[in-house]
Amino acid sequence: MPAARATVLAAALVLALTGCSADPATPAPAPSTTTATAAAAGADAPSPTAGTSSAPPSPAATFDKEIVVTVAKKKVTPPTGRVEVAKGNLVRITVTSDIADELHVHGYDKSLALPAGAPASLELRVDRTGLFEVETHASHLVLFQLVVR
Amino acid sequence: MNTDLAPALAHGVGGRQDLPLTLGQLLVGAAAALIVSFVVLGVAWRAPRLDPAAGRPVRTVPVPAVIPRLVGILLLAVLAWTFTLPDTADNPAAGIVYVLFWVGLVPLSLLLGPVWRALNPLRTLSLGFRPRRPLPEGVGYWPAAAGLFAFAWLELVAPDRATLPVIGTWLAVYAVAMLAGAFVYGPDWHTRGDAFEVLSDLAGRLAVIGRRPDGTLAWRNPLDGIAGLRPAPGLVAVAVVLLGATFYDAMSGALFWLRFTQENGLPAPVTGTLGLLAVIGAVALAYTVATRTSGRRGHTSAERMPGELAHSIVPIVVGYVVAHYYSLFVLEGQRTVALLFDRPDFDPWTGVITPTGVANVQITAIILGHLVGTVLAHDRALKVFPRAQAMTGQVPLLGLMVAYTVAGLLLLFTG
Repeated sequence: MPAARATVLAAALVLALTGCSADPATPAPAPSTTTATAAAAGADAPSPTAGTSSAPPSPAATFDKEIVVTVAKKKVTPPTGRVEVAKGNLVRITVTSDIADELHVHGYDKSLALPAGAPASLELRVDRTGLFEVETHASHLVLFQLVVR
Repeated sequence: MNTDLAPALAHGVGGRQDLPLTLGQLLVGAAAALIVSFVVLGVAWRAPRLDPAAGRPVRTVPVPAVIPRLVGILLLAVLAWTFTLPDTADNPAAGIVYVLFWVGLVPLSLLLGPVWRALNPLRTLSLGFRPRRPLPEGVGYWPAAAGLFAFAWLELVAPDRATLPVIGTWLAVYAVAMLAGAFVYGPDWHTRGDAFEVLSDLAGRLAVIGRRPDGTLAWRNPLDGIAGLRPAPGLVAVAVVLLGATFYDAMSGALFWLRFTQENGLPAPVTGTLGLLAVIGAVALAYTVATRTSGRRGHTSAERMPGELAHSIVPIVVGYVVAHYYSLFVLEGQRTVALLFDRPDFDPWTGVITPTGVANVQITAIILGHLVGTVLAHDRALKVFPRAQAMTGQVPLLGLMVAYTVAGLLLLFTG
């Protein structure tokens, strides 16, 4: 179902929330708050950066879940949580980092260069069950845990 | 340079972790632990029954000691060879050390007995040393406890722990320490000084084949075998470090701990070290309080009980190790072997790693470990406590075992 691609907007929203995010060890009960509404078609504005090289945002692709995360001053927004997806889903991960960094999806060993300050996305068909951490390399942050059932 | 490798090893080796247990699975497991405990207390035997000298002698073809020693040296040579390969994620060294060796040692010992004693290349290298002085009485298992803690720290906390310089430095320091110990105290140093020989010995006492105290090789009830583990200085520390380190490994994948690590402002290795120490400390505190209380309630010396009951922790550790590392061992074990043969594109066989299958293995292993541990504690209580206090004395022990088991299940639920 094509819907407007809300990446940039969501990232901005998320940035606005950075200041008031939870303090350490407060359990944020809803990890899936990270997920934007499903099934968007990314025809519009796939961030025009070098970083998206490993993400093939094919214009026709519809994905089952989009996860939008922002990293600013070593702080992850929304706070590190769990995102549950079903095996076989197509997942889109969009990350905006305030420093140039590299995103890494464990287990699937997918990487994505993150340019400073601009969103970058990758799409991933989750064909294996398990729990996989999605992490940044330079800042060593776990952004979320992808739970594939 | 190596920094891009480090995250590939956030929790031991491998990027995949097991699915968390569901609430239903957690409750089933916890209920099973409680039921098992009360059934053991209510219906198990009323007089001590386990006997380390039991067992049916088995006739075997004697294998000359030199054969396993050569195998051990060969394994060391293979590991050394991997250090000549490029330090990338496709280098099998980390998989050999953390998966095939460290995780694999437990099932291998469960099957065959204390195998590392026969294979240990460091023992082989120190065969020529003559003891220069006797090992002081109080040393006991303390060096092994320290070695196990150091290895747990390497595997779970050390920065860049999947890289060759880090693994290599640790192994080199460890080898020098062990050879120095053997140089002063003779090759027998390794029996209680070497962390891996001790781990292999503890797990190996649960094998169906083992040596009776008189040296005869026998088929035996694994409970008889492990009941032969006698108190010694540092033995409790070994058991507690093993259990605490495995708990910490599970906890490090839990969200609350991840967030705490990332947001408390301390460097991750500092938080990790403190966390590892705290979990081991909590396991030790629970153990000491419960066993000493048990000793008092059983009208027996409180000081004596922690050592008398250390053996009952071993099956709990083994059950938890199996639960926590089963899928990792199957998947990363295959991958490591494939990397050894330079086949980085190998697609591991995943037939036995289904979500429900893994959860079932985890719960079964943990409950089985709990059952065996409870039975061992029960039998030892009957042996040590006067008859009238044998039951009341056991209550704190049951509480301890249930606490450990439920904590383990909770960590698989959150981690």
